[in-house]
Amino acid sequence: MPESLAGFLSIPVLLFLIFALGAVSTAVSCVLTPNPVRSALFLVLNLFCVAILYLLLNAYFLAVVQVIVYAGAIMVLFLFVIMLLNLGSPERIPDQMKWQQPVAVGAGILLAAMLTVTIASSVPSFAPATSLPQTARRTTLDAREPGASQTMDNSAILDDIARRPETMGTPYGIGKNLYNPDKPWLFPFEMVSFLLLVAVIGSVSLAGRQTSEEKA
Amino acid sequence: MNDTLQGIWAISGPLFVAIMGMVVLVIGLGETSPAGRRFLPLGTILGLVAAGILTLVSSRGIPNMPDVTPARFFGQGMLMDDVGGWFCVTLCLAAALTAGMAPAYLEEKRINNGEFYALLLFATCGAMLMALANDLINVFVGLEILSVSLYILCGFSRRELRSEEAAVKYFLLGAFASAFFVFGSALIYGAVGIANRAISLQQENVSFTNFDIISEALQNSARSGMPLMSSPLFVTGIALIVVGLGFKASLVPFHSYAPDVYEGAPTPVTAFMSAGAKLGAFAAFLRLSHAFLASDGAEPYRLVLWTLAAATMLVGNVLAMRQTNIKRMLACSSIAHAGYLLVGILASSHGSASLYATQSVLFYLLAYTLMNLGAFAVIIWLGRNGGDYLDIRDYAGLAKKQPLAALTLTICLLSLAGIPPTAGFFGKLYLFMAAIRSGEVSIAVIGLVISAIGLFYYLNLIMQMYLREPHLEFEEPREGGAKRAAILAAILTIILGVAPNLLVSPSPAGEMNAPPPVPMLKTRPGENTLERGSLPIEPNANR
Repeated sequence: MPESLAGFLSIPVLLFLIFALGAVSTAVSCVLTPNPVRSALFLVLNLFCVAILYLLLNAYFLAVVQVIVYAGAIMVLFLFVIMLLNLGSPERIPDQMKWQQPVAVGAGILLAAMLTVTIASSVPSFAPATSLPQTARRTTLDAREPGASQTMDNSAILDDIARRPETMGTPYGIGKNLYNPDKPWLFPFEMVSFLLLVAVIGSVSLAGRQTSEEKA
Repeated sequence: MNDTLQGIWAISGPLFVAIMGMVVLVIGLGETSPAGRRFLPLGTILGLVAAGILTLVSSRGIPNMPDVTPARFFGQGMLMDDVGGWFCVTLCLAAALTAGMAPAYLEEKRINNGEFYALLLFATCGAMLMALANDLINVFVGLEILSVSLYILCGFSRRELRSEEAAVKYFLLGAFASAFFVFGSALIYGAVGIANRAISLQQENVSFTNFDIISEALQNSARSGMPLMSSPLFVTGIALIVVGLGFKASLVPFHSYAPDVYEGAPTPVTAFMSAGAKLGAFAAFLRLSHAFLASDGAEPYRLVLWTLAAATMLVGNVLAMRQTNIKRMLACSSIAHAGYLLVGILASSHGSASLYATQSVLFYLLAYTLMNLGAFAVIIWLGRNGGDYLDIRDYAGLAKKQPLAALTLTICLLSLAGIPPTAGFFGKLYLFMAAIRSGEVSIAVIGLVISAIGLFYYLNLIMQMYLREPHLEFEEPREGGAKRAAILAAILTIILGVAPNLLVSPSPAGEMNAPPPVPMLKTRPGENTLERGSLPIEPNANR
């Protein structure tokens, strides 16, 4: 048992636990903080934690892009807008439906618990395959209850993961997949540009200045 | 390269609509005179008609390439078949009627900008993409284009507090629902990927959210003794997707936004939203149900649909009875109609009646689009500068003051209620027949009883118009495009009701002997789905 525990608590798993916990706690703080600037800063921390989770999944390029685009550019924009609007802590609006809050929190926790149990029961092993030495891997697998190993054949999955292409997660691999017209990703990627166009039109037409006709 | 061109031709309908949206946007920005603005709705309608024709042509196959059967395009992510073509044409019709009824209303509110028509076209394009998508990622992109356009359109009358409230409510709840959809897709990707793991890592270009692959994985996994439907990951994913689509279709536990949003949004937007968002969501529902066709163990999915359908029909009709605002009443009635449509979706997941049920859903969606848009067009038609007549009591004695409007509204309401000489009657008949054929007799009985209850509020409004004394004068109705759109919708409703076989309809009696008018790809399991190099899952992979 101690051997399997040692196998379980390898460095990537420890890193995962630390940053997953960080991601969850910063996300919760981001929602709960009444001050919008602090809320935005918690969001930055959250995006960093998620970027490191991407790194642990071998998605190097995605992690870097996450930091540069989201934690960098987008968050600077968020902070600019908050400062520009000079938002303080919002005044408390009298809550018409007080019973709603505890019910919502309870239902949210219930949903989160159900999703966690579902995913945890379906994922073959928490330990990343490549990080474990052969013996430790076997032990972790053998330590699992027979019920779980019935639905998932772990060794087959771990072998498959070892056969993963070298380019996975690199800009080369992503580009080869994303921009290949024979693969299913190019079309939605192009269609997203319509989505962005619609969003731009929306922000201009909802927040833009009044047209001369409107003033008349 | 050739494949890409074929794909572009196959989905030329939605692409043309999107291009028209950009053209209208640019013209609308340059044209500031009110006279020039009048051209915008006309151009929009012409563009939509052209897109509808393009869709009809391209869904009949690819010219000079007769060997290409209804195929997948863009890496299997999109497909073009007659179901998708039907959805696209219905969407074009809905958008064209909306563009027809909108101008006078928008001019009065001084929001007759090109953006309105551009966003209408983009929303149509998004819903068309949903209807032609063969992969959850494309469904999602279409869903977002549709939703974001609708959020903006809801708040388009930005000097009105109600419109702003509608936009914010719809946006916040809609963004939440979209998150459910994405999360569900991710879980399904994982679950199907694990089930297909023999090929998952060698063949990189396989998308596990593709409906074909989901369908195959469901079949193969059941054969190899580890059914996908018993994987908690997959079941959770499907449940989350049903939540996301259920919000757009305003099914019952996710319906609470509908009355407020429908009431607050500008009336033409409400009209389009009631049809367009439902068309998109039900197209995706239909594809999802077809993926379950060929496999056993879809009972949990059907149980969920059964419960949602029963609850939606009941709550929608009960809520509608209590409304005094006509827009809210139509919003609640549109919830009830989503319930009837879900009965058809449920029936279409049974192999025995799938084709019949699919056709009945298509027919009902067309009928619903016509009658609902017709009713909203009458509201716009009667309104005058300063506001619409929204209280149901305002409609007292309408038949004496505006007999034509009263007649048009009566036809639309009778159709919504499902009274015989209208399209709504045959729509409901086909849906419930499909449910009975597929063995879902209980939901058909519930639906019949509840739709009888639903008669109450439609007939109440008709009685107001014909039997009460008028207390309003209905001076200077807007007429114009709204009048034409309403009359056109009412006439089409009657034509579809008198001769439902004219366009397409499932034969109501007996087995279908003649070749079905809508040949469908996925409804005949095993015929076309496996041609594109099926994914063998080695049975001995699970040592």
